[in-house]
Amino acid sequence: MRTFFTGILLLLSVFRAIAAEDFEAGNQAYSAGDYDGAIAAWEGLVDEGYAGLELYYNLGNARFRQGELGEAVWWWKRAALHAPFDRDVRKNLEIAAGLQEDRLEPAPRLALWDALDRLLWSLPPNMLALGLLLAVALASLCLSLRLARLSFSSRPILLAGTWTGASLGLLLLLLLALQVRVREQNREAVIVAPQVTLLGAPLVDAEALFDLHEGTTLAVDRRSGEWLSLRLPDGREGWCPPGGAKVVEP
Amino acid sequence: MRDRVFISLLLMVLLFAGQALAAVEFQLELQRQGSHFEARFVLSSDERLPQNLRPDFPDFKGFRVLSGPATGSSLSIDNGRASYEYSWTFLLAPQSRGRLRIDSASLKYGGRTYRSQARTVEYKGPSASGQDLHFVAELSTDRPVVGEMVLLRFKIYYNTRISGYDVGPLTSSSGFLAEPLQEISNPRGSTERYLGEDWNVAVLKEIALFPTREGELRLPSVTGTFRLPDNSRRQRRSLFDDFFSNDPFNRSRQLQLATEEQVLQVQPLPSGAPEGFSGVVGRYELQASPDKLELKAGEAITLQVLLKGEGNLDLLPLLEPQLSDGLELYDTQQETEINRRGKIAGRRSQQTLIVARESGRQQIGALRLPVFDPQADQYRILQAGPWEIKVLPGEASAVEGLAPIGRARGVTSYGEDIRHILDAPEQLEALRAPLHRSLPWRASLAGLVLLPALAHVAGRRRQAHEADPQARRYREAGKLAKRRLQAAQKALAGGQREEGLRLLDEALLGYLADRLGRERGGLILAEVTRELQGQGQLESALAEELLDFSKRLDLARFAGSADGSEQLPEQALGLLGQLRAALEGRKA
Repeated sequence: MRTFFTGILLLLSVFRAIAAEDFEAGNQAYSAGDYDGAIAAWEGLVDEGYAGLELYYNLGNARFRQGELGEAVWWWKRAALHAPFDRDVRKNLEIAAGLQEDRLEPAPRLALWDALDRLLWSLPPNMLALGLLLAVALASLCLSLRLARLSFSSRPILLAGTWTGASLGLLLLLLLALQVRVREQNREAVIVAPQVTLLGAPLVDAEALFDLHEGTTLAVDRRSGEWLSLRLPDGREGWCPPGGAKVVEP
Repeated sequence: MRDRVFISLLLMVLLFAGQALAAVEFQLELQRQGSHFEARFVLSSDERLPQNLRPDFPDFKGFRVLSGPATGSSLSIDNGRASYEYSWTFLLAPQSRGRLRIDSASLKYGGRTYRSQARTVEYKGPSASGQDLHFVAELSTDRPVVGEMVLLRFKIYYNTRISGYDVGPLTSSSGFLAEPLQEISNPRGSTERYLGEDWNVAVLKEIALFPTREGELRLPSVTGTFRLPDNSRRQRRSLFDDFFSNDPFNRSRQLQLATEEQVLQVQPLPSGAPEGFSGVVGRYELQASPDKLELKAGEAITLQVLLKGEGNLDLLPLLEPQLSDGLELYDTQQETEINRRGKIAGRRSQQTLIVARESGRQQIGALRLPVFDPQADQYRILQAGPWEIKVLPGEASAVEGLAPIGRARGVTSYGEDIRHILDAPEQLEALRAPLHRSLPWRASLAGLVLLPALAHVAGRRRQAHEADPQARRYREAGKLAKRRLQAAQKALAGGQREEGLRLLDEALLGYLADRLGRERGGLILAEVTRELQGQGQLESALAEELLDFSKRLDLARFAGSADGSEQLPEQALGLLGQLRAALEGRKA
């Protein structure tokens, strides 16, 4: 059994080393101005199931250098899902916003909401989940020892442990639930085609409503097959034909 | 008595003085009404006058009095001061053409005689144009230079009553900037000669124009709509007093009049413009001064600049001085106040923040603004400064070892680019479902949540067991016996032979008593062994061994035999193991 696990770990470390080499190859290609090469190396890693801020962010840069504003914004937005307040990602998105053709005025927002957002996304979901597990474990063990009626069950430290674990667990559970809900409700899509006309229904011959241009990010309202119903900040909605926009996924 | 006389005299003096100081004016207002004239004698005072006052009116020679005098009085309060007005109005019809004179009227009041002025009017018969209204656009000049302010006034010449008006907009502004002046809410009438006749006239609207190119500029015709009441009322001071108090039956008619198109011949600015002239035209003054002439390095000076005058203030450039190397220009803030009453005039104030970077004598260069003054028809250079500033060493530079304050300059941006790629392959992670969606996480969480429930059940069972001492004895018999054997061994090794042997007996006998649930008192090892053998719980070999051990122990304890007593603890341990195996099913 031990041999089996050792083998698995060894195999994983080999794969990891190969992935790191591919990532580095992409970096070198980018630095040499070979953006196609960089994209091929990095997207190869994505196809192999790798993810992360750095990978997505670099892919956005390479797409940007290729003049594909929509694709660049899409990758940066994906990177932002991993690190919502990363300065590099935010800066690049700001620059991209200045180059976009569509000027969409964001809905007015209180500074308080920004602060709450920062608090909410200060820990990644996985860390929250792990923290929650540890907090629940602390509370559960302390409570179990108290309930087991052992000689030391009445010690105050067990009561303190129970309350601390439970309070911390509740807070982490709340944050995790909020993160999940916010992410599910605020699903975004980026226009990747140079220009796309949004229609009144997910049908090719439906009435044309308005045009959007690459790089513009909109809220996803719902889907119908490969059609996406997108919503502008001013409340207007329209159906985007397949291939016109890509949904931002983690 | 003397006091009363004095007070009475004082009161009389004050009364007379009050009468004397009371400001009383007596005037004649004359307005033409078509082919008639309205003569209105007005007595104004800042105190209430008796109602029965009646002036001596002139004989109105050359006129036929159609009606009058119609009397009226009013009270108005301005800034807390009341003023009273009493009027007597006549409607007069001229009996002949030519110059006609209305002599002064006189009024005696408070021991004084007040006289209105005499007025002469020229009557040439009914209006030559056949109209009672003329709507006219008038330019302050028709040959301005580029950038010069030209006032466009819309005037109404009238010989009839007007109860309302509306002046339309200027429909084209090609070749000039148009700035509307303050709205005239209550036009004041006066008398003016127009087309060779005396007319009542009022200015209705004013616009300031600033030509932006030379050549001929045509100002389009502007339409005015006038409402004329059919039933005129008499008791008014101004023709426009009725704007908001019309005839209750709304008996009026509307008349639309248009001004004539106006033509401006815009002249180019004369040659010889001074260096740095940026097209500022107007009459301006420049004042500027720094708030201090001596300061320490690191501190700031504010240069206050004030430009005031007439002209298009929006076109004034920002004035920033040249500075010596030890001074640094920071932010400049400006504020413009424009007065639109009758013309465009106002002031622009600037506040320029300058930071002293190096100690020594520093210089703020002169401010210079070349302008063209259209009234003087010449270029002028407005200038202020220069100023010499004494900069003393600052706090930081006085401390040895600290770097002097540098000549920091603003960073110039050439453009903006995206950030560079990130070089951190070790951060690569396999894309997988979030932890909170994984089965192990959820199972662990569920297990942890269930754990207290299990502990609770276990605790209750434990409590129940602890509440039954018999069961506890039964359960812990082996453990207790082992502990006694160890204590016996220790006692024997320590030379306490009697105590050690007693504990050996206790250990085995106690074990059997606990397992069988018997009282220990009176229990004899040999008897219990035979009983257990009889019940088939002990094999005969073990029973024999136990009996043998019991015999040897009794000999050692009660007969003092030392034969083989040192092996007794080890033998007892072996027997306990075998007993536990037999009774508890344990391995020996």
